[in-house]
Amino acid sequence: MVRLEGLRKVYDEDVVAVHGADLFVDEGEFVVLVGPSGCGKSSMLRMIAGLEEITSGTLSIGDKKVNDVLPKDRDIAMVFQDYALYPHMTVYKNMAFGLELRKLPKKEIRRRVDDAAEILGLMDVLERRPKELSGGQRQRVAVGRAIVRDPRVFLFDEPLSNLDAKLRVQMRTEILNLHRRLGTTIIYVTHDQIEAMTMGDRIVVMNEGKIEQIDTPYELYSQPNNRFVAGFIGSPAMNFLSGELRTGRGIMFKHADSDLTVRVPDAAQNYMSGRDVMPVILGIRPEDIFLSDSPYMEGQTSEITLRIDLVEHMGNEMTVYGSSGTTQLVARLAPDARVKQDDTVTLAFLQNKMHFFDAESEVVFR
Amino acid sequence: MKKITAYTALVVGALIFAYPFVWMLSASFKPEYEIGDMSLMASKWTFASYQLVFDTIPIFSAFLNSIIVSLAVTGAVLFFGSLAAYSLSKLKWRGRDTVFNLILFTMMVPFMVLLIPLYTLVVKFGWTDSLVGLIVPFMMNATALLILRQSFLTIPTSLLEAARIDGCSEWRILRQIVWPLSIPALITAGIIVLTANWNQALWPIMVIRDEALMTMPQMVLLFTVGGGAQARLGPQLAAGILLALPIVVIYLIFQRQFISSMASTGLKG
Ligand SMILES: Nc1ncnc2c1ncn2[C@@H]1O[C@H](COP(=O)(O)OP(=O)(O)O)[C@@H](O)[C@H]1O
Ligand SMILES: [Mg+2]
Repeated sequence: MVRLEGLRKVYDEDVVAVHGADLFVDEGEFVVLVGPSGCGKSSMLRMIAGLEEITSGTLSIGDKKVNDVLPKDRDIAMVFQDYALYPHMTVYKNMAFGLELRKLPKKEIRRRVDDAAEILGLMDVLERRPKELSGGQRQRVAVGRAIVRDPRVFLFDEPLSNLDAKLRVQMRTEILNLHRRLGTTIIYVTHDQIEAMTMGDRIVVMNEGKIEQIDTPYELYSQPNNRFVAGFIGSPAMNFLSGELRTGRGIMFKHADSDLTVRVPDAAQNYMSGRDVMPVILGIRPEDIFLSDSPYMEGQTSEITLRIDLVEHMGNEMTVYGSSGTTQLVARLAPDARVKQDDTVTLAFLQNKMHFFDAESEVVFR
Repeated sequence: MKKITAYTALVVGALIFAYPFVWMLSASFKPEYEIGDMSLMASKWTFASYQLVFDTIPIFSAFLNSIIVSLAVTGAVLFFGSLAAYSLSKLKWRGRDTVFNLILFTMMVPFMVLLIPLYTLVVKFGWTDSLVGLIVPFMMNATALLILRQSFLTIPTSLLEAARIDGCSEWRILRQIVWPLSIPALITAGIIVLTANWNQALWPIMVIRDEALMTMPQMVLLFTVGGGAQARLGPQLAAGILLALPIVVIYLIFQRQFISSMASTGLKG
């Protein structure tokens, strides 16, 4: 449906916001662009919308190259972060405006706006001005203005970031329901990885203008391509330990900053391509760390002794922050684990959940 | 107590300010021989001064000419000023800042410097003794442009982008989004231009000879200093009142928007 080939954006001759992005978004797909602020998400979305000129590369919507097509002729609709509602028009007029410009019959406009208002619960406020609405209602009007157009692609640029936490979660569900109901292709930008994980069919992780990985939420979480993706997706974030892999009796990971030594699966042999020592970064998610005497850990031999700095009880689990020398680790333990601050505990890593990244390129070994 | 002092001061100040205008108004209705004193009252009120004005000069045609010229100029300034201000505030193009600085620079050039070159041009185009010669040279104005640009800058760019996606051309964005959201600035710029243009006497005196094409200030000036008033103060004051009246009316109608916009743009006329 939407195809990006080597799409590049350079501002003011030297600010490279997007380095040659390749992406294909299928019909009806919900694709989320996620990454830290300033990584080029908006630039990419705005190039798709036609609001920013494409520096180089090809953009197609449907089967047509649209690099030089005006926004209004791209058959897209966009929801902006600040909603961009016309302050001097009523809610009805805000939604009808684009249809009037397209010269639709009055009755058809009325029908479409009423339908959208019905779905979004805006029937009672159609005659109000945007400033008389609550934040959530404004957000809905912005969505309504997009759906009455019945476009081929919806573009969302951080649409929920101005809402409070509770409303954000609610609108998340509403947008997902809307997507299910309309089946229209959506490209959605957010800096919030939880929003990305809960909403996207597929997620595009961006960093510093580059696409780091495109995958389903599950793949992204369980098989990150590199250290950036591994650290960005998941909360609390994955733990990283610098060190080296050594061959001896089996393969061991030797941590650089402490005497921590972890037994790693023999498959790691493949990473070393014949070398005896190999600098790597070990990544382990907090939930893949257990107390070494827990029944999960039978047969696992990788152990590390830590002093507990802080324990956060969540009810259904607890987050434990521990350290050994300069190394800090976060672990999510079962709520009944008997640990408290200043305890010294022995933890173990689940062997098949360890990720190894090349120390230099930070790319994962597979 | 403090409040009363402050109010008294304000009232006294207002009276000092208003007195000359009120005196002028009352004097224009006094018999000529009573104008000499500074009181605001008269033994009887009379239209004689106005009568003389209407009898000696074609004040109606001057009024009409003034209205045509100042409305045309104001309309043109707001129109072309909006186009330029929109482009300078909301469109991206190479050299935009340079152009804007050049426009700012023209504000520093006193009108007197332009008088001769402008006059030469108008003569070349054959626009002397025509209203066109009073209108065309003033169809663009840096002060108005600045006020409009300042106001346009406060409109979020995402609004314009939403409109672009909705299907607006740039021209329609200006009409349907930018203008409706800039009414106070349009009024302020409009009043400033209208007032300045309405009061302009020097330029018409250079360009217009034909009495039927003269504007109010020109006509009133010629009447008061040119002997038409037969050195009588009453008719001179009456002509002055007639000259000021439309501006006062317009100001009264729009004063709220005018003040709020003056305060928000931080500009004075
Ligand atoms: N109009 C612009 N002119 C110059 N640089 C810009 C412009 N818009 C964005 N940038 C730069 O491009 C980079 C990417 O910005 P953006 O696409 O807005 O990122 P994101 O939406 O991921 O926060 C940033 O470094 C930003 O400063
Ligand atoms: Mg952004």
